[in-house]
Amino acid sequence: QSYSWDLANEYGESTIMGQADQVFIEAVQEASGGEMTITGHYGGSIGYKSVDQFDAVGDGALDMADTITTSLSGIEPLFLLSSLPFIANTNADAKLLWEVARPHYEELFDKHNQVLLWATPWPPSGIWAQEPITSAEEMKDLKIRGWDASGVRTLSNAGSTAVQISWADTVPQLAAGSINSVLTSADGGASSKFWEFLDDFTAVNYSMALNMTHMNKDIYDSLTPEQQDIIRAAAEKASDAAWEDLEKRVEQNFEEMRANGVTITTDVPADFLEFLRQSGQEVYDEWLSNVGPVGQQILDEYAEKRGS
Amino acid sequence: MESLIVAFGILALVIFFLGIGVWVFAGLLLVSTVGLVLFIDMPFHRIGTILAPLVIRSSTAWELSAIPMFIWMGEIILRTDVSTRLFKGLSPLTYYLPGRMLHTNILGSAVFAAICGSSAATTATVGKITIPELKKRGYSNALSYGSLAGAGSLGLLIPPSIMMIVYGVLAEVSISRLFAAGMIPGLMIAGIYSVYVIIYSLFRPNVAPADSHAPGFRDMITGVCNLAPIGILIGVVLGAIYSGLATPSETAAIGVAVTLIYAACTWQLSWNTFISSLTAAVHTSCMISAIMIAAAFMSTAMGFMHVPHNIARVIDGLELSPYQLIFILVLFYLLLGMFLEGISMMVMSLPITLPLILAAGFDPIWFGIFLILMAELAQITPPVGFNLFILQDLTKVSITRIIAACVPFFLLMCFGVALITVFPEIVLWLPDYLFQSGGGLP
Amino acid sequence: MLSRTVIRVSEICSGAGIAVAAALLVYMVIHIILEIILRNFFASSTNSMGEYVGYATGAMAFMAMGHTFMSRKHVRVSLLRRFLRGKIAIAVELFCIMATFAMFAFMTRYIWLILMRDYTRGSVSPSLMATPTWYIDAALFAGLVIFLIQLVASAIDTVINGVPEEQIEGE
Ligand code: NA
Ligand code: NA
Repeated sequence: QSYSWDLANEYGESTIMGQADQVFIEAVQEASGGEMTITGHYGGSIGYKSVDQFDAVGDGALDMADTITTSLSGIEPLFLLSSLPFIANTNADAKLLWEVARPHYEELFDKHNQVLLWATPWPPSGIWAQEPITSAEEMKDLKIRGWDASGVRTLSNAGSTAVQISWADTVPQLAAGSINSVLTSADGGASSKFWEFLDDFTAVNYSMALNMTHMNKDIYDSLTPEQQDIIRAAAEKASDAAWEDLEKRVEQNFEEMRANGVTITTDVPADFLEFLRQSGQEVYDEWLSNVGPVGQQILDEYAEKRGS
Repeated sequence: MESLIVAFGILALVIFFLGIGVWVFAGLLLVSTVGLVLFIDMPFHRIGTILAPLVIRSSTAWELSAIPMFIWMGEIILRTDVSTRLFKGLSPLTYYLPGRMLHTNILGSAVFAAICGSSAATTATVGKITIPELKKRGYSNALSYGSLAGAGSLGLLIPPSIMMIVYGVLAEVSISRLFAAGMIPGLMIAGIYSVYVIIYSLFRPNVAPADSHAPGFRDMITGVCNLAPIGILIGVVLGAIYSGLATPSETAAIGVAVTLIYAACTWQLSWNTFISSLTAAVHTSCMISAIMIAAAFMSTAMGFMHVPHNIARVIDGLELSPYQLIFILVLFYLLLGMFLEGISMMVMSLPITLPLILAAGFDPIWFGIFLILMAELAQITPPVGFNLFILQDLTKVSITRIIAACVPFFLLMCFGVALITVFPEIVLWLPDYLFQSGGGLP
Repeated sequence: MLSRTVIRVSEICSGAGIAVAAALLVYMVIHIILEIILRNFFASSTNSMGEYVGYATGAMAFMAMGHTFMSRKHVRVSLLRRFLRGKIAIAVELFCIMATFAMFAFMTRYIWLILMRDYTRGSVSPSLMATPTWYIDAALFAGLVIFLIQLVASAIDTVINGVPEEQIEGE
């Protein structure tokens, strides 16, 4: 029996997520000898937003999807974990956090009739602005766009005027000067050519969101163990490619940004980072009360393994 | 090949459901549902779980909220002296121009396009004002319908444009550059339409009858004065956009507010006017939204049938030269455009066609404008063409007559596509000029 | 008697629906103007414009669907219908209404399933406002129910009074 599946991704094929999906699709195709084919629908071309993909896969409307988990925090608060403010400073931290939390994520997906295949990291987010932002004082001058609710609240607590507006409105508002800064990754800013308006990127490493690729459980369970192994092995391959890609991406982005006259500040004073972390405390507290004891359990295990 | 069979199958279904007289929005939903069952054997339960969240998502998109507001603005304008003055004003001013007030559709659409990001709203709004007036004055129906359907689609090409914003986000190009790139092609298309109307009227003067007597200098001055209200409205809205007070997606609200204030200040805003404009706007935008929601589902259904994927794979395998590729893509988009609405068509196909285009060495900004022209063509191609439906709603004339009236304007727009392909500078000159010199004017 | 009741009920429902839709359109304008004023003069934001105006757009479309149908403002193509008279015209009209009813009953059922799930699970939007998602499901569902009632009423009306004249010019 041969299978033809559809995989939806709200982001483009050239993004880290899209590239990882491509690795997965090709690996499955090859290992199954063409018995299992997957069609990738990138850039939201099949009509789904990330927030809808979770239930779509659970219900079997979609066979599989690659979804940014922050958008699922309204369904299951645990999915907010990877984008909590300053939870992971480095790529290694982000990976460790993912490994620690993975069993809990798997449980959630299972509860909603799906199987978690792998996670793809987003490059760390920082502050795009007209000046390097390295002190609490400078935060006060920012009219900044935060990409999710946690970001907006953290930035507001840090004294900035933070707004939540759509990505499509971000560039027009930058052009108009109604906002003068954006909290996003180097990658995000580079993709929208922020250097037409902003000259500086301060790499505060606010957070590294995760995309997760998940598959309908009924379909997965209907496969033979060999076929399931093929899927698992391909997912492993995609995951490795994604984490490897991450390092290279950030380098490439920085290079392109410098070429376009963007000053990149990676040397952020520790007391300023501590100030920002304090500003995000409220988000942590609320998250912990929403998610229940499992939240603290994950944080503790993460802290222990991280050695801090 | 299989995809072509699917495409023809869909065509047959569209002709059946729409032809028998099922309302367009319901017809498109039925076509998609039946298509999924017939062509890929999808169970009903799965179709339902695909349909419902998509309906919720596509109906609640912020990007589309401008459409009802612009339509409301048009309904208020219609109930005040703004629209009658527009005609009183243009009548003497265009007297000596062959085609006379037929140019109001083109000019009106181009100007309205400059404040409105959607072509459905542009066509509906301008048409509500011009179609009855032109009819009253005995102008040629065919030219008046055709020029409205053709020029109304300029709403997407002349900035601001919802579609450019969506394209900019998807293709990762600068939205300000896209806006600049649309300007000259937009004016060019408007110019081509006007020249066509002029030439046509020179040979058949009776398509544009004179209003009575030849206007004198004083009539001209009065004419200009009569244009003041519309000038003020458009000036304020444009001012709000270009001063940075409002983003392009917010301008519709400014437009409504300014129009309401104008109507109130000139004692033209009664409670009845307010309510009747509001009701009419809700009816029209409900009609348009319902079709858009159905079109979004149709686009998803085609995605599940892998229609765009398979066609693109065939194109990719042909190893075409750049011009051949563009020619094939024109055919591809004309085919898709028969069934889909512009933005859905773009979102669904872009991930597949953009890599082909970039590999062939085309500029992504240029391709954005090319796509918008293809979307404008899709607005006037049967069986599913938004401007066709809006015109049918406005005129109550049979759809076949409207399609016939659109044919010359369809061909003229194709000519425009050929022009920008041979001379890409038409698209790229302005953004390069504006942005290479450090962002500002030199 | 029953048929007249159905028609009366549908008139009331459709009327209520369009009243809500009109109010939502006014609300959209006010919210955006408020946002523009807050942003430009108070360096502040409602932080909910895109989200709420989007909801209002969707709710407006669905709440108005019944009344728009009753007023015969939904577009249809007039290829075949112009040539039909009498019983055949009524039969074709009833087919169109029934096909539409079937399609939308199908949609309504699945929107209901989403509504129930979002309600029992307590899902909220992943935004600052954390809006319960069942609100918007419920608005759409209500609009759909009004539309379905209107379709039944229109079918009855067609049987009793024949196909309504929609001014379509001949060639
Ligand atoms: Na426009
Ligand atoms: Na079309």
